[in-house]
Amino acid sequence: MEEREDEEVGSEEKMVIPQLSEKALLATGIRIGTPVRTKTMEQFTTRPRPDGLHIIDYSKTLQRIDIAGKFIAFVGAPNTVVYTSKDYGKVPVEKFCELTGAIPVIGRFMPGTFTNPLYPGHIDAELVLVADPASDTQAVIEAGSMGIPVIAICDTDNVTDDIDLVIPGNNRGRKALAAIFWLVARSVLTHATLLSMDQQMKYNIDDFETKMTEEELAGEEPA
Amino acid sequence: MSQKTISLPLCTSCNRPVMPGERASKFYCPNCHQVLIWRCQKCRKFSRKYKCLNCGFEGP
Repeated sequence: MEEREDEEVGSEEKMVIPQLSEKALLATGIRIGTPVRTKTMEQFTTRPRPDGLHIIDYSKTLQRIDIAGKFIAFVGAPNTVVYTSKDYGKVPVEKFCELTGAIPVIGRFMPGTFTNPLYPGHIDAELVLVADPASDTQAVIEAGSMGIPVIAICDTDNVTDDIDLVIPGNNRGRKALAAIFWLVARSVLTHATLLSMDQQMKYNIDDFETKMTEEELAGEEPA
Repeated sequence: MSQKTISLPLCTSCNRPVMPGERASKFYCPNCHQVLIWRCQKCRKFSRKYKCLNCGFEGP
């Protein structure tokens, strides 16, 4: 029973990376999926919880985060566009781009950003990172038209069409998104040799998190 | 009249030639950055797996 509980919350001694324990990582809800699981995401999930939620294998998440970091470092962060339409993704994307030098696109994705060279906001990207392929479809479609590879953070219910590299993880949670972007940023900086393995980053996971006001928190509570 | 031949890149997943103008993507292996991976429109659409010949990385 204790072992099961330990597996659920993670151990405090076991370090995922030098500054982050397994317990702290799992507390962000990075591996909590949805009741729906698509065929393509099957390989990244472990077992469903008694309440029906599918659990993501977080060792695969960490492995893919490392590979995504390598990929962005190879291509070059200034040639990478990071896009999210989610409210909770705004701060993580801004902080990620501040640290790595990638190009942030937040809010509405103007059609033609990748495909129309006459559009003033046109971006010549070599790599695109999106937070959710289900809500960021325009960016994924345009990247596909231009032959730009796409990295996407995918939850258990996401369809991975037109995605070239999947990062399995919870892309709905405020803390989970912050944790994933923080880990990818760290991986990019490490692989670009701008940060050593034991060095602290400028920001921690809390700084990557979208802070909510008291009214917003009150609005979230059920009536 | 001289005849010229062109060689088309092959899709890493299905091994079929990638036609010009197709919504294909090409990128170096995300893991080792040694091998150029081509993914044709269909393989991208159906999320077919690709494998790096150098390091064995399987995506997407």
